[in-house]
Amino acid sequence: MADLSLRNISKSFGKVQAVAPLNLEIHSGEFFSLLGPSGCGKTTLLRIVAGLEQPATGSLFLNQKDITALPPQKRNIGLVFQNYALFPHMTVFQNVAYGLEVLNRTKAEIRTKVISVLEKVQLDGKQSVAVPNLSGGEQQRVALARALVVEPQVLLFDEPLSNLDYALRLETRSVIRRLQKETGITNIYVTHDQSEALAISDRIAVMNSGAIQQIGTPQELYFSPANRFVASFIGHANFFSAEICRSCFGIQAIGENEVLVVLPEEISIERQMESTSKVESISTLPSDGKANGKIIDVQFSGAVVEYVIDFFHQRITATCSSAKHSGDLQIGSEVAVSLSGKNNRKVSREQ
Amino acid sequence: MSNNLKRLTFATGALLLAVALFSVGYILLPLFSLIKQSFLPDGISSSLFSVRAYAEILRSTFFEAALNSIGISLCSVIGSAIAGIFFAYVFHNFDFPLKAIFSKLVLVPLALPPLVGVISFMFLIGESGMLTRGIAALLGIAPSHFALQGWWGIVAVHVYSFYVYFYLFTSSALNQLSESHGSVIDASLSLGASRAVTIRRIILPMLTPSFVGASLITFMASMASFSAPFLFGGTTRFLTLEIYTAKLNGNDANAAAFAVLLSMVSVGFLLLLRWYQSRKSYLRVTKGSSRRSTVPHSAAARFIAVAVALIVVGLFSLPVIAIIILSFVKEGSWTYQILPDTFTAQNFIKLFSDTHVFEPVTNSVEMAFVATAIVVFIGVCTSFLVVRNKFIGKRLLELLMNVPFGIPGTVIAVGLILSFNHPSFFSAQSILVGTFWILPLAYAVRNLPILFRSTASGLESVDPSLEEAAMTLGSTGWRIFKKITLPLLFSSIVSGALLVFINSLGEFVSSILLYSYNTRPISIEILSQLRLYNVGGAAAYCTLLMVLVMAAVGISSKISRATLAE
Ligand SMILES: Nc1ncnc2c1ncn2[C@@H]1O[C@H](COP(=O)(O)OP(=O)(O)OP(=O)(O)O)[C@@H](O)[C@H]1O
Ligand SMILES: [Mg+2]
Repeated sequence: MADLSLRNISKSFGKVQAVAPLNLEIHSGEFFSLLGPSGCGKTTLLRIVAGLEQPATGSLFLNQKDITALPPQKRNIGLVFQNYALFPHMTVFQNVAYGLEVLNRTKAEIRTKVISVLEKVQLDGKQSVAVPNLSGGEQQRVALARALVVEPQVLLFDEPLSNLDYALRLETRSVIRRLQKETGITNIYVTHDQSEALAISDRIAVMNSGAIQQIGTPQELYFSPANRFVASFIGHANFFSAEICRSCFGIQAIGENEVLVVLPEEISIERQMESTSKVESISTLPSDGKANGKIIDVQFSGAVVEYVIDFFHQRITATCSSAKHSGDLQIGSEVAVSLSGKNNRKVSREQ
Repeated sequence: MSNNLKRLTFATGALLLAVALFSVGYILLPLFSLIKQSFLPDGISSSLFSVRAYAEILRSTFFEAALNSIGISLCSVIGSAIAGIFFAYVFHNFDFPLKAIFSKLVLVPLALPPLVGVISFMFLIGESGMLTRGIAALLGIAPSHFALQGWWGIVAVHVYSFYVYFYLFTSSALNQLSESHGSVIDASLSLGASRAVTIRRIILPMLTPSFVGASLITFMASMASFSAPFLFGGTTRFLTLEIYTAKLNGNDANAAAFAVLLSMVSVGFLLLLRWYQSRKSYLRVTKGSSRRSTVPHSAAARFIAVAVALIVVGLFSLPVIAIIILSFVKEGSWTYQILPDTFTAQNFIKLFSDTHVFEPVTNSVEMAFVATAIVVFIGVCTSFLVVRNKFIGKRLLELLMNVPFGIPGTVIAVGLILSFNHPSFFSAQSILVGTFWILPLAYAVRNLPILFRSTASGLESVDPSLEEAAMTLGSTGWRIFKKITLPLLFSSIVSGALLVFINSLGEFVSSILLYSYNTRPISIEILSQLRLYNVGGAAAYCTLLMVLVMAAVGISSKISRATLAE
C-alpha cells in the first residue's frame, strides 16, 4: 500500500543527539520494528515519521512523495501511543468515531465503520462504555481501533504493549499481527523487548544511541549479528577473545581484533568429577577443546535452564532445555565448557 | 517525553497579541502611571522628577499606617492560624454528628463578600452590635469598655475572613499526610513515641510548608484589606485607607506614593510565596494503598475538642444570621434595643418593586458578567499559550498574569484611574473614568490570576499526547481545542469563573474609587444605605447578595455536573 523512506534524518534536543543521521527504507505492507534500549531515540524517530517532531536534517518520503513539511493532519499516518492517549471524556464509540467525524463522513457511514472495526478488535458490545472504565487491554484495543478506522497508509506503534501483563501482551500482539496481515497496512512498531520484535516483525532495525546498528529479518539479526551490540542485545550472546578461542576451543581462524559470538544455547557444559588443579592462566592450558569453569548461578525459567558460569574471570551464560537439566549441575559445580554449533560468527572487539 | 512545546501559528500569534495588549494596557501601564504620578514634579523646583510626595508621606502618616498595617496583618495571621489549624485538625481526626453540615459552615466566609462580613460584624460585635448590647445589659457595663472596634476589631474581622486559608491548606495537607504517609504516623507510634512527640516531631514538620503558604497569603490579604479598616477601624490609620483618603483629597501624587510603597511590600511577599512554593515540599503522592491513619486521642480530649470546634463554628455562622434578621428591620426602628423588635418585609418589597432601588443589583450582575467574560477569555487564552506553546516573553506574560494577585485592589483602582482619566490608546482614545467599563475592567484585572492559575494547572494535567492523537487523526488546531482540550478543562474553567463572578458581584475595594452614580454596584449602595442609617435596607442588599452568590454556586455546579454526565 505505502512505502516509506527516511533519508539522512536526524534530530537533536539541545546537546542530546536523539537521532543520528540515518537512512531507512520501509517496504509496502511490511511489519517493521524499531528495537533498542531505553533512550536510544525510537520514540523520537517515530514522532518524526508521524509529523509531531520536525527532523533537524533529512527528508521523509511516502510513496516517493516528500512529506517532510506536511503537518501530521495531512500525512494519513496513524499512531498508537504507549499510554493509549484515549480521550477520557468520550465513550469507546466516540473515541473511534472521532477521526471519521474529522473527515466529515455521514452518520450512517461512521456507524458501520466503527462497529466493524470494533468487531475486528473484539470490542463489539462495548461501544457506549466510558473509556476510563475499560481494562488496560481493552483500552489498548480501542486505541488500535481508533487508529485503524481512518485507514491510514502507515500505522505507527510506540511500545503499545508495555503496560499490559504477560498474557494480555501475547494476546494483543497476535491481534495486531493478524490485523496487519488482513489490512496490509505498513506498520512501524517500536519496542525494547527483543523477543516481541523477533516474534512479530518482518524486518527489524536495531538502534543504539540514536544510530541504526543493523537492519534485517529476525533470523539474520539472531544468527548473523553485525556487531557486538546487536549480538548481545538480540541473543544475549557470549563473546570469546581470540586467545580463549585458540587455547580452549582450538579455533584458530580468528583475528586479534575479533571476538567469537557464541549464543547461550551453543555452549554445552558437563560436570567435571575429578577435581583438577585450577588452571589460572590460559596460556598453560592444553588445547583439547575443553576448558574448566565454575557454575555461579542456576536459573530455572520453565522451558529452559540458564547457567551463569565463571569462565576465566568472565561471566558467560549457557542454556539448555529443562528436560536435559541434571541434578549435579549446581551452584559451585566445576564444569567442562565446550562449544556446539558452527561457531563461525565473529565481530569486532569494539563495543 | 511529550514536553514538546509548539511554535506559534498565525492564529495563536493573534491570540498572543490580544493577551499581550491586555496585560500591557491594563496591568503594566496602570502600574507605570502610578509610579510616574508618585514622582511627578512639584512645580516649585524645575526638575522633571520629584520625591516630594514620598518625603511628605514619610514625614506625616506613613510610618504610623505602615506599623498598623503590618501589626494588624501579623495578628491576623496568628489568629487565623489558630482557628484554621484547630478546625482542620478537629474535622480531620474526629467524627461527630452532622459533620457534613458543619464542614460546609466552616467554609462560609469564603463565599461571603468581604463587605457583607464586615457589616455583619459591625452589627454583632461593634459598639452598637447586638451581642455587645446583650452582654452590656447582662453585665451592666458600658459597651465602649469591651466592644471590638478599631485595631482589634479589624483583626477580628480578618481572622473571620481569612482563617479559611489555613483551614483549607491544613486539611488538604492532613489528607495527603494520612493518605500517602499514614505509615509515618503509625511508625512513630510503634517506635514508642507518645502522641505529643508524634505531633511535634513528625506531623508538624511535615505540615510546615502548608502553614507557611497560608501565612503568606493571609498576610497579603490583610495588608490589602480595605473594607474592614474603612468601616470598622474607627480612627486607626491603615495603608489602604491612606491611599483612599489621599485620592479623595485630590492629592494624586501622595496617593500614588502610598500605593507604590504598599505594592512593594505586597509584591515582595508574593515573590516570597512563589519562591517558597517552588521549593519541594515533604508531601508527595506515592504509590501504595491509602488508608486513613490518625493519632489516637482520649475520649475527654475528643469531647472537648469537638465541643469547642462546634461552638465556634456555630458562632461563625452568626454573622449570616444577623444579616438576615436585620434585613427585615423596619427603617429607623432599631435604635437602642438589644435586638430589633419590629419586623417588616418592606425592605425586600421596595428592592424588587422600585426599579431605582433595584438598579445597583442590575449593575453588579451586569458588571460581574462582563468581568467574568473578560477574565475567561484572557485567562483561558493565556494559559493555553503559556502551557502549550513556546515564545519569547513567556515568563514575563506569566508574571504579569500573577501580578494583580499581589497588588491591593485600592492600588489597582488608583492605577486604572491615573491611566484612563485621559484619552489613551488602550481606551480607544476615550476617557474611561466615570463610565461603566472602568468597573468591570478593574474587577477583571483583580481576578485574572485566580482563573489563570486554575486553568493553567488544569491544562498542565491534560496529557499533550491527547492533542497529538487528535492531530494524527487529521484534526486541526481549533477543532482539537473545542473537542478535546476545552471539554477536559471545562470544570477548572467553571470553578475559576465562579470565583471571579462571586468576587465581582460584591466587589467594594476598587468600586469605591471608580463608581459613578449611574454605575453604582450593590456594595456602594449598601454603604450609602448605612450612611443614611437605613440598616434594614443595607441588610436587604446584603441578603440579596448572599442569595445571588448561592445561586451562582448552584448554577455552576449544575453546569459542571451536566457536562460531566454528557
Ligand atoms: N522533547 C525532548 N526534549 C529533550 N530531550 C528529549 C526530548 N525527547 C527526547 N529527548 C531525549 O532524546 C533521547 C531519545 O529519546 P526517545 O524518547 O526517542 O527514546 P526512546 O528510545 O523512545 O526511549 P524509551 O524506550 O525509554 O521510550 C533521550 O536521551 C531523551 O532524553
Ligand atoms: Mg519511547
